[in-house]
Amino acid sequence: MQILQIVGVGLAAAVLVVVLRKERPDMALLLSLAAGVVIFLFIVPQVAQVARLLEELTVRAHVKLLFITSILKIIGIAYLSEFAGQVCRDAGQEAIASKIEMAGKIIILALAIPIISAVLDLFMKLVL
Amino acid sequence: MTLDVGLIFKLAGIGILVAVLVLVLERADRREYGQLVALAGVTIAFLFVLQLLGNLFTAVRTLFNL
Repeated sequence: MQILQIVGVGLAAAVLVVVLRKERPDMALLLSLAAGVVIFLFIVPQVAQVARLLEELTVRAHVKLLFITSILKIIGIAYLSEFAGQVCRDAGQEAIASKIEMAGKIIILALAIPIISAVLDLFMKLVL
Repeated sequence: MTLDVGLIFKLAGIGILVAVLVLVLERADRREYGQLVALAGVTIAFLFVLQLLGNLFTAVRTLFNL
């Protein structure tokens, strides 16, 4: 059972962070960051399975592969910016966190430009 | 991919060790050494975390082909 391992590690890391927070807040921040990364690295194979399933479905449904790769990229950017934002918020740096999240949103919007223009093309074809 | 519990405990160990050392050094009127020890501890822990972050970035890059 993988979830038991993840729950155990998460609870242990939380207890250690609380122990460290009073004496050394810097170490507590590094520890919570490491715990987050370790747990994500543990669930990477499952995420890869889901991504492979999505790609297979797109190929079977004869949808352009451009769309699914952009969506995967968008999910990756959203995850990374959310992760960094939460770490900054844990450290009490609300301003940096919101800037990171804003940058993530803007990059996602830039990545979505081909999809938006494809949708617009489709509309124009339907209307005209 | 295995769950790397050892790293978490290593970081916690470094943190507790540094906290105790700083406490002892400050009690012995060596405040400047205490600060140096704290800085060294944070740097070592940060190096560990940096390596881990590199792993995270490569994983995300291959996963979502960024």
